Amino acid sequence: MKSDQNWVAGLTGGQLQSFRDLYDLFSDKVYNTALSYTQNTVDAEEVTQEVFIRIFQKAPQFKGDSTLSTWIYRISVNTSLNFLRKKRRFLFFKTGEAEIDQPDFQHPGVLLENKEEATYLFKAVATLPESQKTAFILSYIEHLPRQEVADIMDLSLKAVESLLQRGKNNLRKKLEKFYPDRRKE
Amino acid sequence: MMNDERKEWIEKALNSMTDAQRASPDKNLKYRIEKEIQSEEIELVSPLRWRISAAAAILLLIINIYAISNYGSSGNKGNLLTGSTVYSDITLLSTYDIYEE
Repeated sequence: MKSDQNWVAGLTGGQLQSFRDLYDLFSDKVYNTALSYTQNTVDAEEVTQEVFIRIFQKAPQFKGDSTLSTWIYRISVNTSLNFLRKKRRFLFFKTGEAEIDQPDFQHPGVLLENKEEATYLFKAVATLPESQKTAFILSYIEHLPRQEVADIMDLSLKAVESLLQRGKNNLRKKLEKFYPDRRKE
Repeated sequence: MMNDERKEWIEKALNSMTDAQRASPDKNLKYRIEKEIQSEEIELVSPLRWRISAAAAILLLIINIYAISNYGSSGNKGNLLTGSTVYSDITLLSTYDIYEE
């Protein structure tokens, strides 16, 4: 098994094979993270592409202060958030609306019996502030350990727990509002 | 009763991604990224290589400055002309009988 430094050395040396191996290992993680933020498969692929190009470009700057996985997740989160900010700005200039009118998103991996609830969950997640959204996505959708979430977000464990608590409270309030809509369907 | 049902639904929604499977991107995405990397000709120059290149450039500049200032201060300005004149004298043909046997 390759160590993090070996991966980075391969990428820094411009080895395309290293890129391919790294892609095979991390593409699902990057794509799923991007998908949770963008809630759109085309946008998620665009973000994934940007993330891997950045990994390839920034490999020489990887110091090994964190694990490769944490570093890649951090790039994925930042690229996804930047993508959403750009999209929001673009829409604001185009239509004058500050919020993205997100169509209902059905995650391709969700269990059939949870499909309806997951659609409402993603609708609610989209309304969360960035930090609460990141903590929730990494913890409850990516199922990462809390310590890794803290490392990715460069926060203490306590701060992540607090973000999750606030995030879940906000989601409950949002979902409560969606409940009557759900009853009508 | 209604309230319990609502609460239950909210909790179900919050945990609806618990057993979800991972989605996978389009199979061609890897090749698209490879193409993008190659077309953009992303230069992978390590910080060490950058530092070595910068040091070499600075060294070259210092050598040049030193050579120019040394040359000017030694009063050898005329030598170059003299040298080139000598060179011209040597290279110029003194006779046009080039087919002389």
